[in-house]
Amino acid sequence: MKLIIHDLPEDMAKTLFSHHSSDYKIISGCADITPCTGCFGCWVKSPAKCCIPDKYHNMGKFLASSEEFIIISRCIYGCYSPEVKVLLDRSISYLLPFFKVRNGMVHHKLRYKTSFSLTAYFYGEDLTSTEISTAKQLVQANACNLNVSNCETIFLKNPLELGGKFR
Amino acid sequence: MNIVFINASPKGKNSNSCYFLELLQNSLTKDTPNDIIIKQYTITSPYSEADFYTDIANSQAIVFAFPLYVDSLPSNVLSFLRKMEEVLTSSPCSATVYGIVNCGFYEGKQNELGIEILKNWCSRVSLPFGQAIGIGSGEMLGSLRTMPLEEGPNKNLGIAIQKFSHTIFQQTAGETIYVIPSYFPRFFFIKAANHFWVKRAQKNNLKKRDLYRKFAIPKNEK
Ligand SMILES: Cc1cc2nc3c(=O)[nH]c(=O)nc-3n(C[C@H](O)[C@H](O)[C@H](O)COP(=O)(O)O)c2cc1C
Repeated sequence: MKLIIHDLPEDMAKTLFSHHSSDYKIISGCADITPCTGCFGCWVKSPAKCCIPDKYHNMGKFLASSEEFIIISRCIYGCYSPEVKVLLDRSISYLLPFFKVRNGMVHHKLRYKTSFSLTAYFYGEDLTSTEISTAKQLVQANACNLNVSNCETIFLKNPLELGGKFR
Repeated sequence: MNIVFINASPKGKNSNSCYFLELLQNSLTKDTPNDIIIKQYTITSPYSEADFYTDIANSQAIVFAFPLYVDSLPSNVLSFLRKMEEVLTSSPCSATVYGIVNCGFYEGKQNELGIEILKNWCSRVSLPFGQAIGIGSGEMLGSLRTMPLEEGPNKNLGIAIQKFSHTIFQQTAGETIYVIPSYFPRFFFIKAANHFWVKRAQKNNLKKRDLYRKFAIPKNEK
């Protein structure tokens, strides 16, 4: 499976994803999604599953089922938009709570043996060079924590540049 | 001096961020209690936006405290900053921005990107950035509230808070201060933390092996 999370307006998402194959799972982030409350229930209460009972409680499972993870997000302050970030915050059940040293620093142990590739498409008209640098480092850090097999960060002025990519 | 504290943890008043702000408040008001007026807001609790933006406009320093989520800021903090950006473009504010970012992993340095994102926000809203502290082992240090700050694992934290409060009081800027627990080596931290998760799960009637639960992933889904 190829998992896409994005924050695109509905009409743009329709244009970009209208002919996608059944191989893709597409999740649209929006302002109404309940944010993670930091309860750690997905580790110590209902392991592997977020405790907020809505349709985003299985983000960890979706990641585990993917060989490609694609993030399409507006870049704000060198980070993902809140609409995309809420989905990432609700994905931590993908990992185990337990710690170990990886790449010289403490990270989580892996719940699943499998891994996926990560491509982050950041868009925005007026990104500064510092924001671009922060965003690149952020994707690298995420890749390390999520044990990503390979990762790429791409910057776009307009997400419509992705036309025809996801079929 | 007017200071606004913004506790931006998704856990609200029950958070490590709130505790670190409390330490900062104690340090700031210890020597000069009458010179400093602190207004504290918790972004997950109801508050008057009118009061908030009036306090922001009248402040010389704003101190954000939030945890690191997925190597960056929690989604609700990003929404909050975006909203603030909108308001600040049309209302005057000249405060210097300070930050306390804490994370669960051992190394304080892992908060670096969270701090960079706060700095990038400052550039967008044209506010000067003062200093940040990046606290590692946030959950552990947050659980040692009853231990004195001058000794044991809290020592580095105590020193960092003192330096940080000095920078704020002087309204100056400084290098980021990264904190790890004192006298507490990393291998010991990992052992203690792994034990902590099992204990917490036991309170929910789960055994250690339950924490390794997986979803069965059908072959054709992969
Ligand atoms: C969704 C989520 C994501 C997190 N991501 C990270 C992370 O990337 N690195 C880290 O060291 N800690 C991470 N943590 C741990 C928190 O930063 C840590 O528990 C912190 O002490 C919470 O602070 P607070 O009580 O002020 O909210 C994460 C916690 C949650 C709930």
